Amino acid sequence: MAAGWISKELAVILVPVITLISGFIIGYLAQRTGFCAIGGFRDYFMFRHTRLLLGFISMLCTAFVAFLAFHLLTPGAFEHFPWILSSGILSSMPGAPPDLSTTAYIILALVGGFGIGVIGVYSGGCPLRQFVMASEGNLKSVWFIAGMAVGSVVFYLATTGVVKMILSSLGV
Amino acid sequence: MQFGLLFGACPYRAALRLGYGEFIALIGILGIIAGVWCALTMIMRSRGEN
Repeated sequence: MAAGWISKELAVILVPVITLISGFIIGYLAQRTGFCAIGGFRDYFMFRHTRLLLGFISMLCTAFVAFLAFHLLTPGAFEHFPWILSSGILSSMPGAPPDLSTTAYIILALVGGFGIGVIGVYSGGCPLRQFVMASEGNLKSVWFIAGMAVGSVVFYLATTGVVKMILSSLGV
Repeated sequence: MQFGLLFGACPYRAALRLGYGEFIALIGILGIIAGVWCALTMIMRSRGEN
């Protein structure tokens, strides 16, 4: 990524600093606005309130515009920028378990998204909201974050293998 | 958060991925919407019975 902007030695220092500053700004804004992705859909379905949902949609649009702007400013900063054009319509970015078929990624996206939605509603917010609530002093959210940390370890130790086994037995 | 890793993204990363032009993220966001709707329906129903 970001090839040619700055030297590697400078990037080693600059990237953590910029990440820290961005995290500070995002945390401040999230606390002030009560921003929540799952809360947006929840409020829309329950009360037809669109305040939080508009936040999520504007974040999506801003992400696209920012990617496009950086892509136009520095060609090659994002190697695969319109992912859909460079890598095919149904290929997945790294992040999910690797080396699976397209059908498997669609199933995983549906199941994973469904799970995030259900758990998010029952626990009162998406991960970012949980972090903000934990900082506000909500003990329940601290437990949620602890569970997230343990859950990701368990996922890489056990669940990846189980998921691959189930998918291969289903034949996808 | 096993489900999040299954999908490879929390809602924010899903939005960023969709902004990057990836179609799987859109399917994931649709899954999130379906999950929220189902959970709300279940909660409403359990409250209605009580």
